[in-house]
Amino acid sequence: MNSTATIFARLAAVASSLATYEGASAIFDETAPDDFLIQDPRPEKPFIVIAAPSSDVALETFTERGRMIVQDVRAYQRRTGSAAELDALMRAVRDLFHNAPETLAVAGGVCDVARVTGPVQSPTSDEAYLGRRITIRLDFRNT
Amino acid sequence: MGDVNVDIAANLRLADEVLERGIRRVLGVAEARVKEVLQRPGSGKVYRRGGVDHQASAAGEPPAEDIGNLIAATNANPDIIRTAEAVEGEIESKTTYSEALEKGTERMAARQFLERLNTEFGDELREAFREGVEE
Repeated sequence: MNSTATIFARLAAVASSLATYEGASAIFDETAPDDFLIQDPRPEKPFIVIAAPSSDVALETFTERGRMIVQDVRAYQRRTGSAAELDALMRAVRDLFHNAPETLAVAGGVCDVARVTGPVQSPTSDEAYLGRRITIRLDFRNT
Repeated sequence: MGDVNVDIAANLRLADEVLERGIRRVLGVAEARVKEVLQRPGSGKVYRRGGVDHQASAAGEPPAEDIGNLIAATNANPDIIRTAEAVEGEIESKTTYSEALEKGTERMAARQFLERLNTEFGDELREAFREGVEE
């Protein structure tokens, strides 16, 4: 079961709030590409990075198999003097997942639990950007 | 009929002392393990600096040792933290870039080293806690 694909699919709901890259919403896996980051001026709208899971462990009973996965979703935006847009985006992203497992598409399974903490501040490499992060816990069950 | 007297304050103090022993044992093991993690060689890019090659970590690996700043700055906090809900110990990493390594940034994937205490050493830390409270 691919949690990154599940998260990516659900983030389509906020696509209109994001910058674009190569004709698609700026949602990246692990890191944003250099040619996107070094645009001058920097992208005005936020972009999202889905991190690799920080934990992925078996969740098993005598009769069922699954995984419990913890994964960060981070968003960044060019500094403009206000983080309001970025904060609003990440609160919306949190609400897409938190206590809403039934809305998530999981190849080969279902999601029984979806819990989110954050958004909180997230570090950046480039001081031109602001960062925010949520942490998602997903309990997947094989079907 | 006999009286039963329980000194609740004394029992709470005893429970607190036992908890602290367990937590301090965990912190000792955790600090040692996280410093071991930070000494693992990386398999990422090789940089030449000051005539010396340094091989950085690749995405998903813990940070590779360079000049030892991160190892020196990552330690158990000697203060046990007591709140109304919990008694806690913590491993701190106090460089300006610790959080960026642990959590990642817009251009760098995370190089987790603190989370590995959960994912790699959870059983050992639970055992350390048990030993601490039973000593």
